[in-house]
Amino acid sequence: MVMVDPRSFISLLEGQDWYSGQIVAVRELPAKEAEYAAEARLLEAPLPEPLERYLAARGVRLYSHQVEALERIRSGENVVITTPTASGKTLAFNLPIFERLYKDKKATALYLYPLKALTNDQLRAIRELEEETGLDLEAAVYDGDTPQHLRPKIRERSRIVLTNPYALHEYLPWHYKWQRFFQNLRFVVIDEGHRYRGVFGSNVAMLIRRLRRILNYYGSDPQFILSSATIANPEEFAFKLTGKHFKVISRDGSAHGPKYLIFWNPLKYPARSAHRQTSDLLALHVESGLQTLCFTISRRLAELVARWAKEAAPERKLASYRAGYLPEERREIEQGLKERELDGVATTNALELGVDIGQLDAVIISGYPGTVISTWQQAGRAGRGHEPALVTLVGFENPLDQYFMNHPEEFFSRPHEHAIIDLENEHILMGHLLCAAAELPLRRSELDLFGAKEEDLEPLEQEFLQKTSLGWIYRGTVRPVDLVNLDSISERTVRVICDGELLETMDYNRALEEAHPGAVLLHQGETYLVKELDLERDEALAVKEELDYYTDALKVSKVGLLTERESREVGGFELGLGEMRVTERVIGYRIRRYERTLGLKELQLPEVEFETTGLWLALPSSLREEVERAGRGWPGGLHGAEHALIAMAPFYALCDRWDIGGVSTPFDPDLEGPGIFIYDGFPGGIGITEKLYELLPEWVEATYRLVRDCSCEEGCPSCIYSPKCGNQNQPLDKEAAVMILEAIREALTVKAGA
Amino acid sequence: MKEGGLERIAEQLSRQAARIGEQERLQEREVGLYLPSHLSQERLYEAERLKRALLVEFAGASLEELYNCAEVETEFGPALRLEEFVPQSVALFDREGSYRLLTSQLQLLYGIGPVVARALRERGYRTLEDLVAHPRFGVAATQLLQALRRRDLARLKAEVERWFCPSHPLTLALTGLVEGRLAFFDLESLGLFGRPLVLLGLAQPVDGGLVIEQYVIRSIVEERAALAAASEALTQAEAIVTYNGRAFDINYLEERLSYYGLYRPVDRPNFDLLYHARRCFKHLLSDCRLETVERYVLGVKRPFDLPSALVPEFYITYLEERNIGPLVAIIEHNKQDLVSLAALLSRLCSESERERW
Repeated sequence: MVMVDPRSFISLLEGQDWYSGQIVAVRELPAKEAEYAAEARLLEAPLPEPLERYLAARGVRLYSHQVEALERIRSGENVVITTPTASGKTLAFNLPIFERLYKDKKATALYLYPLKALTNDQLRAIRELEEETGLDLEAAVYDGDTPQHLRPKIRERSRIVLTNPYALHEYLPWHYKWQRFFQNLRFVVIDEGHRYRGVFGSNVAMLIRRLRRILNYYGSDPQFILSSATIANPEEFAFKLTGKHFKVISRDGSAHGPKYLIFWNPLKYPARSAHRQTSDLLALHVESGLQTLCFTISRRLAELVARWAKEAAPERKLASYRAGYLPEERREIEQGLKERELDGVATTNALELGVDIGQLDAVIISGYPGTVISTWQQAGRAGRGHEPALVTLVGFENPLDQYFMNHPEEFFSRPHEHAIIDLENEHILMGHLLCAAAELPLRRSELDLFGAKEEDLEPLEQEFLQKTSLGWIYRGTVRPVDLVNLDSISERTVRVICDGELLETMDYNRALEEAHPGAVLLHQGETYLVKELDLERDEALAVKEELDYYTDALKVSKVGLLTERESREVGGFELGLGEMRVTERVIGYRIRRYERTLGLKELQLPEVEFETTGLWLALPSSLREEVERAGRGWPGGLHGAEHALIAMAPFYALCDRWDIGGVSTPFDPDLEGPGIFIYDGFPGGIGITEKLYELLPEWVEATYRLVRDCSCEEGCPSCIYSPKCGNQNQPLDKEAAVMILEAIREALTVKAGA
Repeated sequence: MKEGGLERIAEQLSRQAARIGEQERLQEREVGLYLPSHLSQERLYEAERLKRALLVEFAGASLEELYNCAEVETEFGPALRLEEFVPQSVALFDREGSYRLLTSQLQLLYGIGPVVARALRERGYRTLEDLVAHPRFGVAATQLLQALRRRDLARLKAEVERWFCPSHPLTLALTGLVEGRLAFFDLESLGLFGRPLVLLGLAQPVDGGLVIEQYVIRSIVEERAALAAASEALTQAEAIVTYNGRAFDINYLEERLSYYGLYRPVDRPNFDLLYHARRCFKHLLSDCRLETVERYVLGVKRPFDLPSALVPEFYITYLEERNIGPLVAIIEHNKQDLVSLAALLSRLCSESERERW
């Protein structure tokens, strides 16, 4: 197979009749030679013979980061490994774990994966290692799919158990059945660690504290090993997730060829949709002999892009892939990629995770996946050994995508996002305290582990807890694990039902936005249409339907300030962080096909009110005068600046754009003047705006540049339009927004300089 | 956190709990035989009326006035034990019959299936005793006979269940070998696992009747002592008889013991009559809950009817109202369960003896 020269491929692209300047940037990342540990300190002590034999048989020479991980784990440290995809992370921790389990015949290890689907894939890898080394650890997956009759044997004998947080949450109360396993537990491996962020991550952080408490009861205190994509704050993140201190291993020792990143802006050629251009690109890639993986934002698009590309390149083998396929189907595609029988696959982000498909020549990322982390994860699929690799990012018509299209340098120069975990959300905390008290009597001395105070338990003593000489004992009539949903803030939840089966549960607030009648719900890449939202029973009824449109709820919000945590004044602006009461109402929804609005529908839904954390910007009246003197609209400027700030937030704090909300107003009674509020969209807050407050200068700077550099005249979906704006994006004034953002930016810079 | 924020969260949790409780009650849950799908609105009203009547009837009353109560001292404080004699005799397999039946089962030995068994019988090997001299099966036959003579129930039960299914009447024949205590066991709880117990009931056959021992948990602080006392009583027994105990009562007991750091496996042989009831009666009945079986097979009519699913609600009312009325209903309900369990075992044994197999 002859590798296509990337430069000539780019020339080929530029020669297509559908080329009209879409390539806005090409960046070459140089090739890198492998780094091995210096011979002298290769390994302090050799690995046990079966493992050495395994490495020798495979011709594996350990990279420097693998050796570092191995030595640190050997010496008992907790490590977080953040080297890129395909750098051999799994081997780096499996070797010392196998070594320990080989030497200590009772030792056990627990592997946690964020999704059920991943465990089976990883089990195969571990079983392979077991077979090739001749170590019989009876590794097994233990989750909801584990047949009943196999369970006792796994609990009694397996020395490696793979599971997911949902299952752990469910089985932790049965700890006595796991006594042997827990007593001897030496390692907890948390793979794909960066996925444990936001609400899910904060819940899992509490779950891990519950696990640690149980382990402590059985006398064990295992090492924690985290594997994660590159994030800005691995140490802080790992500490918050587990309550333990970690050593970060981030220096990648693996080798790779040069990587070419192409930024493709389809808006330069408006005659053809971004999705059509994606399939054109895919077809050209495979025709040129580049084995290519194309990431799309939905399963339907994956199928469409694959189909169109197939029509354009009929003699090539193309397929689509998503989580909903049967395991056999998925295996076949994975195998086809690995053995290079398939030329191209269009996929949802299901292939971003650690599924083993080998390495490819090229990756097309159709639509910014929302985070720098995911983008690099997806890009990491391209690159075979020393061969050059091609990655193309196709930008859609929305602020983040277009920000990168206009500022490609930003993509490379900025650190990755901060992964956020909030240990102070009382909603999450209280639910898990109940779970803990039902697992073992909760002693006062154990409250610290959860960051809880005695007062936190008092309101629970009414119905759920009894204070006794043994500690707090759970005495409720429902299982507390049923009160806690790891994906949501422990409060009112709505069950989404399809064909009598539970599809998912979501927060009540979120259900009003995403599961209202007429909403198109995306679940694992499939589209569902919500027929009915029954708020008496807290159930949404949905049907599975092939739909080519999406819906966005239109929301109006009000904010009232409750307490001020901190505030400061810079250049006439007041910036503050504190608790606020938010009132939101979904008033209707927009029907949208790709970026076009097809229609608007009204809805009658109840208002929701919650208390959360948020930040505010109070603006000086002098600015208003300045804006108005320039003949621009003041309310439209505030509104536009608010939208743009929200749109850029995910770049700093790992979250979805919809995890935060905002309000802007020319006069706020609490601030006694004009203000912009941005708040966490969850009761109790989840730490997003706290992080944004910390990163305010960078965030405002980027937002300012986003709006300033957008090529539109009066504002567009790529800068200040928000698809969820309950006021139909009225009023908006782009130039005023630029002026306001610039003024805030200047104020912040002066502060920094002073 | 804001003023009153914690209270608000606690209230939200309460509402969520109420919703889940409601759903749970409406769902069929095989595991605890909480099958309240049949719980019509009518029966719920009836239970509510019963509860109100009990609150009136027992206002100001104490358990001590009504029952023969004793405080059992345990390492963890006193446990309240109610004791009562019920003139309900238990008819088990007779010892001789059990022995004969078991020794005639050549298939209890490894390597002997139906075909080999028939061949052996044709050659004159009719019992395990005959097989003692057999060159291939002699050793195994001798070992099993020794277990029979030692009345090693755990071993024998394991063997029977290895080659036959748990609902096989042969299992019941093993009860005929019990010489010491046989304990019927049934517990009442605030739900299915992970929640506190309310009552642990045991019954022991004696001449002419049953001695019922109930450990009543008057408040959760007594749970640990009650668990310790009841599990101690269970370990005194040679074998345990339960209804769905394999999945529920024994598991639950172990879980609660472990919660208090008192875990020890309840490893007495457990004869779970649910399997046998299913085998015998599932064609005749709509379901095999003990309440259904006792009503249609044993002809028991309860004086008042507290559905199992409402035990938590009655208990909570007892706690909140500080009135033993609803607790009395739970105590009586549990007592009737134990009595029915004993009657059911007698019935199953006699049915099995009549069966030809």
